[in-house]
Amino acid sequence: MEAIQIEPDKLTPFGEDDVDTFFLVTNQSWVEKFSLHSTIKYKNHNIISYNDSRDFKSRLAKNIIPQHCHLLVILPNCLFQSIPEEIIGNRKILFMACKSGEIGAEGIKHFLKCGYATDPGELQAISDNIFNKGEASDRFIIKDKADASIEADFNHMEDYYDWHEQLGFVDWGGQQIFPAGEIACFSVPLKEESLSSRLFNLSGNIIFTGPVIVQSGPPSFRPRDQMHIYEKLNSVSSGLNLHISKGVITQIEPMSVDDAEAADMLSSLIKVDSRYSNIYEVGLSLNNKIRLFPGNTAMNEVWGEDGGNIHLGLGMLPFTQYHVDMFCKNAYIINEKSDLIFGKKRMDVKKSSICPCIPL
Amino acid sequence: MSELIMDKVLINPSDISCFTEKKGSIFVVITSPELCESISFGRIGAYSKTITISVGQSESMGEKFWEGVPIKSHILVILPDIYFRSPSSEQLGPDRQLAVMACHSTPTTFQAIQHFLGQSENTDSERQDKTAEKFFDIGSASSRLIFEDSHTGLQLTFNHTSDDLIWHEQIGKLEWGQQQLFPSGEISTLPVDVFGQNINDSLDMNGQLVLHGFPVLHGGDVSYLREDQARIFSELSALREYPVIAHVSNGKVTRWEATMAGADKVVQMLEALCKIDGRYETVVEVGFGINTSLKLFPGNNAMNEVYGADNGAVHFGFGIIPFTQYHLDIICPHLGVKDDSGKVFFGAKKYTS
Repeated sequence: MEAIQIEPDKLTPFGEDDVDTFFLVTNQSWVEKFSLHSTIKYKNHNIISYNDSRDFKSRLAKNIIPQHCHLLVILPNCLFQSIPEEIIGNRKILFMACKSGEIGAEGIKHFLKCGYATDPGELQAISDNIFNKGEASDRFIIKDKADASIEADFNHMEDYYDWHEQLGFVDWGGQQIFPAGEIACFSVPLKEESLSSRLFNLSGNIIFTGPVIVQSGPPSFRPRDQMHIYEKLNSVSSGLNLHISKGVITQIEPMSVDDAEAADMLSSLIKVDSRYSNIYEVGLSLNNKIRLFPGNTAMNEVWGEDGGNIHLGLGMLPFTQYHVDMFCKNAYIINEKSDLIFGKKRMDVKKSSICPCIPL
Repeated sequence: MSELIMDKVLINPSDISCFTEKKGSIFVVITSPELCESISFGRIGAYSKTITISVGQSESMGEKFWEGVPIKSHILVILPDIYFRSPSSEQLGPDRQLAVMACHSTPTTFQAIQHFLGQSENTDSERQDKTAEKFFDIGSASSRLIFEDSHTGLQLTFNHTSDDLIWHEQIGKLEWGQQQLFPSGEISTLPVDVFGQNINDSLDMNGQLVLHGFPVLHGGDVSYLREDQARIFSELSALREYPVIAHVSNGKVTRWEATMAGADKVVQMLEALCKIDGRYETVVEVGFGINTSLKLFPGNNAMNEVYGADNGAVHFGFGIIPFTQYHLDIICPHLGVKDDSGKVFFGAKKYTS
């Protein structure tokens, strides 16, 4: 198999720092699969291998990994858990989310290519624009490109929401997914005891169209169950009409007979753990350079092709067994004045038998 | 017999038969701060004294904790609000006996604690030892066990002599340095390798298992909502009236079949559990409840698990804590267990073909 080429100079979210050292951090069994491309930017570059992400954290804390460096973390064999800013110190970390949804070498190559093509400055500008328009709006309305009768009302200005940006340039002491490109809104605090309270002020209908990502976390699970759940949910065809009341899915309506299995799987998740009926995340995926990679792929989450895509997040790790990201690719957001906030509207096309400018 | 006096739980240490060598020993109750004030002691018999220790958090029961519990003591743990982790043999030490009320994996009310305290005082530990001895004598002489539904005659065959099994006893009298459930009365077997998250091993078991009786739905370490636990339990409770047939092949359920309309919702719930976590398809435990003096307490109660009806009651376990969210026991008092001779030696006897 051809080696996975790491091109440090194309990791643009690190910015234009005057930094000498770049490390690729990966699992021992993956070291041979990577090849570090020559670089103009860095004097030193090397591969560090670990089998446990806790080792990585500890080596950062003990400064075995030197300060003032850039790190790209690709750990397909173990779950990467966020590292406190004080431990990252005077370093910058980019990490690929390649464990929670299984991915192989081809997937890593695919997303490296997407990431190299991503312009962090452009994403930051898009994000700034969304927030500027959002702050000037009283409410968001989530509409559907395919069906004008479908809409949901989203009060996006509640004080208890937390808005997260995963895009743009990384600061010193910071960490960011690679490729980046997501604005995610969470209802907080995401504590175990409050997972069924303080939900989104979101009511109406949204069509889940797929794709879906079924992300696993610390709770025990079987990969084959994760894949089975993914396959059933991803079998969605025309869509599932999600009836939502105050952030809770109250009804799942398949749009066609081909959607029955997806509806059944979503209902089963909720039947076993009612917390899956709560929408914990409204995600705005805006990386227009991402091309979807087939399968249950966490890095698809920033898929913003064709003007940006909305996804809803169900389940909250590490409490529920899975976190499910459900793309609603026909959804877009306008405000109370019908200004487009996010996504792409469809042109309002009416079938006409004659030219409307010729009165009969 | 424990008695309800206002909001008090009266414990009669002298009447609890599982503890041995009471003379001069100390009787210790470890309980929550809320219950601490409700505990009072009646007949203490030969015990030198009684002590109540209050524990508010699991974390406070670390290694040092056991050093603070007197030696030559008989300890009864009643902790409905926190997860109690069994001490190691070293922690418990050679001079203590420990009995634990299983009251955290299912929500346990004050009334349930009173009920099971009373049941435990009715429990005849010597009789349990004899019952177990007889059970193992018959079991050892038989090449297989057949679980037969006393209403339908449907059967499940179990190769109980496999070397891949571990047998556990939660019965009879305690000796120094030992611990067990309270009230006691369960013999159970599980595959040796079951304690892995993939449940790679399963029981050598085939046939049609008629599930008709009382579920117990234990919550474990994986996060879950008490409301969900109650709702799932409630759906499964229809098993009391409406049996479900589990078609079992090599220890795994290949199909859940409702025997009548009322069982539909049970099947739907079992199917949903298996869809989300396929580990629930595996029968991970065969339990034999031998506490024949225990009366069931209504609702989802872990302490019902030792229920032995008149002649023993079998239960089957699905899901393995700490990996799955829940462990589901289904107590099936309508099943009889036959040995090679075809004679029912445990459980229900009524079926005639």
